[in-house]
Amino acid sequence: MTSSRIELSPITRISGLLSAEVEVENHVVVNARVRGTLFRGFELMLSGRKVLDAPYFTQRICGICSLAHGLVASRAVEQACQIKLHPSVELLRNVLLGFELLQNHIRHFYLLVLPDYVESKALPFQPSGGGDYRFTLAETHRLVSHYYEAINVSLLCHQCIALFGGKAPHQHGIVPGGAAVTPRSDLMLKAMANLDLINSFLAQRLARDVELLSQRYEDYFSLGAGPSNYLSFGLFTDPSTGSDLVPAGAFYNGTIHPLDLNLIGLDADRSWFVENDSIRGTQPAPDKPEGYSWIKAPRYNGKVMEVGPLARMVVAGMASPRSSTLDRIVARTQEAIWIGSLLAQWLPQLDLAMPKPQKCESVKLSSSYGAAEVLRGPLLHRLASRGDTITNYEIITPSEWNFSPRDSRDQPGAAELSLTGIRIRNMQRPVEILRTLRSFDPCISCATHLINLKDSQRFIFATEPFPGFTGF
Amino acid sequence: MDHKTYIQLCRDPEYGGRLASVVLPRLREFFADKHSPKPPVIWLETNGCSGNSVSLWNAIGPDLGQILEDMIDLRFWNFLMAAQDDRAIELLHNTATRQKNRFILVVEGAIALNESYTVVHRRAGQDYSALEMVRFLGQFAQHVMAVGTCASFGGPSAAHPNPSRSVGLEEAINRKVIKVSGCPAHPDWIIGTLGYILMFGEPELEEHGRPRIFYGETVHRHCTRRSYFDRGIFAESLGDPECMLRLGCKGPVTGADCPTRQWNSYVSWPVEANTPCIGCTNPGFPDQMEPFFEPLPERDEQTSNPVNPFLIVKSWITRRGGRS
Repeated sequence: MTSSRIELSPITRISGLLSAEVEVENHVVVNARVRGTLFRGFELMLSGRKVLDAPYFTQRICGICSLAHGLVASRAVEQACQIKLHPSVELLRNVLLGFELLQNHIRHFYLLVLPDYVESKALPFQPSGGGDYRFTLAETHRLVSHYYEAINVSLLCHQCIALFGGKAPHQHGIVPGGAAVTPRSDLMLKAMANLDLINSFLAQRLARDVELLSQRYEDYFSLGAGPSNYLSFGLFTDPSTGSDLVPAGAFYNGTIHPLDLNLIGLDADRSWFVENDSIRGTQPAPDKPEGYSWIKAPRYNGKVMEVGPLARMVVAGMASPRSSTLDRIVARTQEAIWIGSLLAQWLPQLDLAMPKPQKCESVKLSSSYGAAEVLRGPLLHRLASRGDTITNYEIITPSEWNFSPRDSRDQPGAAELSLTGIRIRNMQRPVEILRTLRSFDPCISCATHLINLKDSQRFIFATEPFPGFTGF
Repeated sequence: MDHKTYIQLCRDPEYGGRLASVVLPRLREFFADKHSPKPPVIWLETNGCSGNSVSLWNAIGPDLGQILEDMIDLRFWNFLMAAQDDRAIELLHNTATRQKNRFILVVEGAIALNESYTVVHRRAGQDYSALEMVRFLGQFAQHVMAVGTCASFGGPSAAHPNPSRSVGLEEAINRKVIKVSGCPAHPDWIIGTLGYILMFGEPELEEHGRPRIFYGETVHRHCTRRSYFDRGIFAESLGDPECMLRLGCKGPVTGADCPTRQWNSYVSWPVEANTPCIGCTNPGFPDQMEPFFEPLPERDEQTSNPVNPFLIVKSWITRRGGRS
């Protein structure tokens, strides 16, 4: 038996810094460790800032999922201020989140994923890093030209966000208490014109290109399976009822269970954090011997969960509970096409008489949260405050679920699990590993945060205040 | 074309919206005249959010594809490059050592002095931190550009209490850095500065080390709501059409050309979206620009003199000292 170890660092074409190490026996991965190597510490920074600053501030966590943080932070602030949003505000926020999702999904497939499968002399496919390229020359030319088209189509999505939010990334339009730009017909027309271009790209390019990929790389449907557990917080808000348009839930033991946020636990056994009783909090510990990642290990009911477009489709009963490298890419594509059609319905319905943002003048609940499905899966922000000031802020991002390290029960994270069992054809170029990691759409800028573990072993979503983080 | 014409093109409101499309043909001419190859560029991401990369992906005419084809010889860009793992690092290393004083180093993100907090590469159990990498690359680069407020000044990555002990690039590598700040930086600011560097070398910089072309005047000076300010008519809540000084606008202390340039293919900017400027290009962003929705003091807290915006920012930085 031949045994070896492969270290892959850095994993490029993702946001943030990620490395992977796999142990291989007879060409089969028997063990994988995925490490996030960037720690920013946003939760620590948020303590002491004004509650109203949370949406703009937390957007700076991530340049590609920026709007998602702004949206979820606004919800946390609005819950704290006991503000109920007007349905037309919810509709506009759906539109903005929809364009952010489309921007991401298009860029993910063309700019980040495609160079794994296409070898071309065109920039920036050279110099390539992989192998196992299966497209014909004609197909390659077509895919490369679609890469360049994708650059210009994806920026139209951000342009639509800018129409209602001033700029993107780090938009200004979603503010605590509402949305700052009241829809106008000129803005709607411009957005609809962009959407026409985006939708024809989705139908004529993305859908066909992913179909072609599925044919040429059919074996990737039986490779890279996750933990068979799926979690979703629910995507988009139904403006008329206020409930989730795509339902929330957790799929495990073969069935869909209703979502219970109290079942979320966090583990940092193998993460570079330690608890420090003297400060009643958690602090970074990069030298912790058993640690190997800045990412923590969130678990649902003790289970490892896969999250993302595929997971939300499974939880909603829209897809069968089967995960693989290609299933993730296909689900993201299907979702993009579906969101494009939703936006076409929503844009003409935007309310020209949408009320101005409500003033979030007094914080009524000292503990609140925002939760939603965003670009890569479920995002949770939990806010504790005294008066108008944040005393504690905690964030669990989608990529933490997918890219968590092992936990105290030695359960590997979802991505680690998906690598185990993969057969590597060419040990010099382990493309199977890289393609599978990238199918999750990793975002490590988002994933590495500090949280006060002691209070978060079990999340208690009640309204009592909880002890604030006291710093280092 | 001489540099004065170039600057005029960058600034002229008539061209402002089309800066990028003006730069590209000039660069093509320039490269053709000189028979010189495109300059190698290393874009290194450190402690940041990738927002400046995404902002550059939003560029038009030259769009990202044209930038890669006609402007630069991209050697390393974690977020975009095809190569990965050790091969990617080899490209970076080879560019640095074989193209000494010929390549441009672009850094996106602050530099963590707690080195284990930003590890760019691991090999054989050894970590290579962002600090090590920028110090290594910085000594060989012909020009060093900081893109975004984190790389320029520390920015959000260095916000109080600065858990990773992050600093701006210049402080980390101890050499002159051309700073293209903004959270994120506007694609035109990045392209315009890069174009200037390629054609004429280092541009004239203002007091914070940023190209005067883009950061030389305040947002307030050319604000589309300036007439309301001059007449003393102020917005009372978000969504009102008047001057937002009392809602926290930091336009008077912020050097940037957002009002004349506008964002995302020139369709809007934060004030047009009925929200205050939050001063994202400033050295003190975000600590000295918060609270975002509370007004700047009308008189200096210490001297009670009427507001001198730049002095106020400086005194805030000294007093509140977010960057310990």
